[in-house]
Amino acid sequence: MDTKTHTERTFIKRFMFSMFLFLVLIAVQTFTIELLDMPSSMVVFVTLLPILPLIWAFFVYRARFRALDEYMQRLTSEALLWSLGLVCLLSFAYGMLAMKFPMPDISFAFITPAAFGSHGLILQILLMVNNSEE
Amino acid sequence: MKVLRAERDWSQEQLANHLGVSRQAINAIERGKHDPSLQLAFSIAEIFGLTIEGVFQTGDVSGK
Repeated sequence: MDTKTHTERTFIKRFMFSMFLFLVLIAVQTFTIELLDMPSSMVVFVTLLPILPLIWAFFVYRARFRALDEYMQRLTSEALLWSLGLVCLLSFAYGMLAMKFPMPDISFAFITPAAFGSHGLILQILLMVNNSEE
Repeated sequence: MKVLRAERDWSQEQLANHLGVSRQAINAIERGKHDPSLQLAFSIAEIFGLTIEGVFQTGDVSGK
């Protein structure tokens, strides 16, 4: 369907552009902090700069979710539930272990890619299972 | 619903395009894996020129 394809194309274009912006801002962040001597307020600003395209990507994804039909929304929500459960339980298990044993340091920054990455992966698995049942 | 679709010689993809939903949604409804919303059920009935009761039966969400 033309409108659906258009929606999907718009989503892919915007999402990929937000990821591109994210990578550019990561580079800007790294080089700026490395090469320039800035006051700490500027360092905080530059450090948090890559979050902006991620916020945009979130709204782009939300717009796509709203454009999905009810069944695809259901599958996407189920994938989100799975990823939420996985990330929460794993981080909780890590936290519990860290209280008792010395554990390797894992940055909080990895939680976002873990959550979104597992969401995308689980959604593909759900779609694959759905298609195999046909 | 599968029978009604077959009578019109429509593929799941074609019916999905008519209704503005994904092919997966049509497939899930036909297999009884998904209960369509009232709005979608009305659209499905309308496209087949029937009432909702004509397409779906109580306790049989997969339709005819």
